[in-house]
Amino acid sequence: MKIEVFETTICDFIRSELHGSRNLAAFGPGDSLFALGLDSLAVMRIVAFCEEEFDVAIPDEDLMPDNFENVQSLARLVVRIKSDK
Amino acid sequence: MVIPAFLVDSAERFGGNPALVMDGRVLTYAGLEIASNRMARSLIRYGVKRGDRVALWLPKSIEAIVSVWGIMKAGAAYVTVDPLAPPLRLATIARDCEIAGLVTTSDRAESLNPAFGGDAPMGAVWYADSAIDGPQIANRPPIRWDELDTENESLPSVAIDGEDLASVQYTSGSSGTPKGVMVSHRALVGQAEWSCKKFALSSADRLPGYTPLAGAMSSFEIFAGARAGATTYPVPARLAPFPAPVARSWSEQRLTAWFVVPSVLTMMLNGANLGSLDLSPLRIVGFSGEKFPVERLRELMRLLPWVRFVNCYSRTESKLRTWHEIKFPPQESDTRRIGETPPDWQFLVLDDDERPVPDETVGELWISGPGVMNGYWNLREMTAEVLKVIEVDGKRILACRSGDLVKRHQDGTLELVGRAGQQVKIRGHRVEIGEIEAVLSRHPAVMQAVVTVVLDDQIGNRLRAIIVLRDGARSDGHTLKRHCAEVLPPHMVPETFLFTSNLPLMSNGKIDRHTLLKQPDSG
Repeated sequence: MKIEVFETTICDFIRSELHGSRNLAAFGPGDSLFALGLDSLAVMRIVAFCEEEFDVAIPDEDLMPDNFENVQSLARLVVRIKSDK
Repeated sequence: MVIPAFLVDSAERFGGNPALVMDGRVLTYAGLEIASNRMARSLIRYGVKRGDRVALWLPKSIEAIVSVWGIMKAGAAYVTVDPLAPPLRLATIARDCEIAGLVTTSDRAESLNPAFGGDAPMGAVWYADSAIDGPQIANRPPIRWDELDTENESLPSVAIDGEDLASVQYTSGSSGTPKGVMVSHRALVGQAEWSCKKFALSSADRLPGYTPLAGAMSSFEIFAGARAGATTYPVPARLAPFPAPVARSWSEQRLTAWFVVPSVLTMMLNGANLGSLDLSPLRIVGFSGEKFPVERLRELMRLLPWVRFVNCYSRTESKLRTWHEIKFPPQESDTRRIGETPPDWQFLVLDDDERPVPDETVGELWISGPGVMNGYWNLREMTAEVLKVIEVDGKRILACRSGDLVKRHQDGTLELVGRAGQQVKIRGHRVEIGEIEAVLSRHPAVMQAVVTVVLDDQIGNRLRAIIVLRDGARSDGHTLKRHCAEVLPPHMVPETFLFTSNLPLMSNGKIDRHTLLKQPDSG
């Protein structure tokens, strides 16, 4: 699967689930996730979504800010884990 | 005695000691004193007067903490608003207490204009992040942080005393809007002095700053820490959701005392591999604000056998922190024990008629002491229901009802048994279920809304909404979630929504929440 497909799927999830009070119609893979205001539950939900959707297990040591910078970094993480399998 | 005196004093005695360390920057006590003096002068220059309120809506940062001190030095009360809360919530709070100034960051300005709708109470806006000109909010002068460098370094002379308000702390309100707890300098000073003494804080201590500024517990690091001349390492918002990097940083920073909500400790137990870290400088862990499941506490105490563990009880409306030190192995009762109180406080256990109940009987906890709130901002009736003169042993004392149900045992110890009403903790945040239900009920499609709490092993309390729609109306979870998110902070937005055509009632006509709790999720 091309990485863009991962990015699109994750972006769709973010737009529909983590919008808060914002309009995220223009939210893209390069846009900062931190600017949306991530709390511990949001991180957990993103992880749960990625694990379920892409059939991967994201190890604890990958739960760090650099991987959650934006959807691009998340997609790269998922792709890396999948190819390591 | 007023809180800023702590900082003046520590700047004199420990001027060279780091006060705040964050993102590679260090501010000493001398530096913090000067910076906050300048902030105070700037506030005064732009019209902030003694008794005014100034709000803060920004992630925790050195500038945010400087502002807290500066606001008090200007004689005003600081009002913190959760930076994760939506702009409308800030606007509601800002208008409720008619703020004279606002401290925020320039990236938030755009969202604030529509929220204030051209009608903003504050006279000026301070941008904590910019050395560039920030955008205007509601045509108020935007002040760049570097402008503060042009202010005089010395403490402005503003005469305040212990009765002046130090802060108005907004908490969830069951009627549908947040309510502001008025906190005097006297109350904060008393709480900080007691915490300092019990935790034996000194200038050698290093404290985390995990609790958000809008959380009442943050006063531990900010005020008790300052009293002792200790160093605080505020956790950046970028790091806060990730337990492993946070725990690693606490190890590298060689922190000596932690004071956090139990949710943070369980998060660390779940994901931070604490056993692999060098936490040898840590000498004491205090927790407060929520129930700590005893198995998790036991797990933590086993990992850190050299550390002391203390359960502290406190209420936003009563600025005290009780002290119950727990010995290994911890018992279930340790997690519910309300411990030692400062000598000038009194705990009463009363029935619905405000009469004392006998030992071993459940009653409501009423708290009396010098740190009890002055009342709720502009809510005379609600205040009168909560803050009352009670007659005890022939004496009349002013006491504040806590809403907590407790039992006093024959040995004199107090145990927390439950809550009267519908207040819960969600990941350490205090939430009135009624506020969420009121917000939902405002949606035109909703006839009735009930919010229930489901306990999850890993995450803790999770919110679920059960909705009865009006005849002919249509809606869905997505729409109602967005409706909530417009005005409520993220931790108050229900995660799941169930739609039903009628709600189970008890024989007295009230909603049967117990039965609702048992209904399975349908997504």
